[in-house]
Amino acid sequence: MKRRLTPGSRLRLPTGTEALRRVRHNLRTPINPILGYCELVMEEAGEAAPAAFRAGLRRLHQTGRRMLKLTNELFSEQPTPLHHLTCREILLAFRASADEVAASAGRLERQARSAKLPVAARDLHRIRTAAGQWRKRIEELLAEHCE
Amino acid sequence: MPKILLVEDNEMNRDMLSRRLMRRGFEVALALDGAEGVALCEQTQPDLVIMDLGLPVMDGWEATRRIKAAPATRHIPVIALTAHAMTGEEERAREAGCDDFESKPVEFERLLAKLRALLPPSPAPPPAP
Repeated sequence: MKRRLTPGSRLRLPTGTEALRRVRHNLRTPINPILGYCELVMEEAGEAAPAAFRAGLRRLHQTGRRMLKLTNELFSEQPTPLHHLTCREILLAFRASADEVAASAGRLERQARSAKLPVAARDLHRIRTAAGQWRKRIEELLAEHCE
Repeated sequence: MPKILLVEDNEMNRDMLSRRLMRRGFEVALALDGAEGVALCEQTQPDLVIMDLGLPVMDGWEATRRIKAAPATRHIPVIALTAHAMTGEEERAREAGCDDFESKPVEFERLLAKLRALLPPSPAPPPAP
């Protein structure tokens, strides 16, 4: 991060619809490929894939849904528990989900390569990339808007 | 086979969504920005357009307005796609001429239901392999 978060700092989201729309768009955009590729790999791998691989995909999808929930709560127009957290606490919550998605996708990518599923491996690699984008964007958002 | 024009600038979203649509039996043409979307819509006459709204060169609102203003393409249904998902977005998309609206991340089955509702009647696409 370009700027360290000071203890107790709070997120001050930009006022004005256009600015808020932009940051919300930037954070929601990487979640679309995370969930979409996960569902696509589930469809394409189907019943032929090992049970552990399919179970891993389901867990990955659940973590992706958690990323979406965090994003929606952060930008909710109604008060949510996330709004009471400090910036450091928000950062930790978001990083934990992003890192879990990246780690799970990495494990599944290796399994897909071992199982000779190159397309699934490539799609899982893309999920890791999108999780990294999401992590970077929340870090940038907090660096810019925490006071 | 129904032909969909997908206008989407994000490479991962374009790849993922086009593959999912093709698995469900749709023919998919791709455009990377709003201007290309308008041009391809006129040239290829798709059965339906899925239009991302936040696009470079020409945004999706303007591209939809042009598609709906042109006699050759105004009959083609347009579904807006956006990650903004804030209050008023759907109204804004409909004002531009979009026939329906879907927020990202895409709930794929819901999107398919919207496609089926807007596509002209034709033989059902083959089931997913």
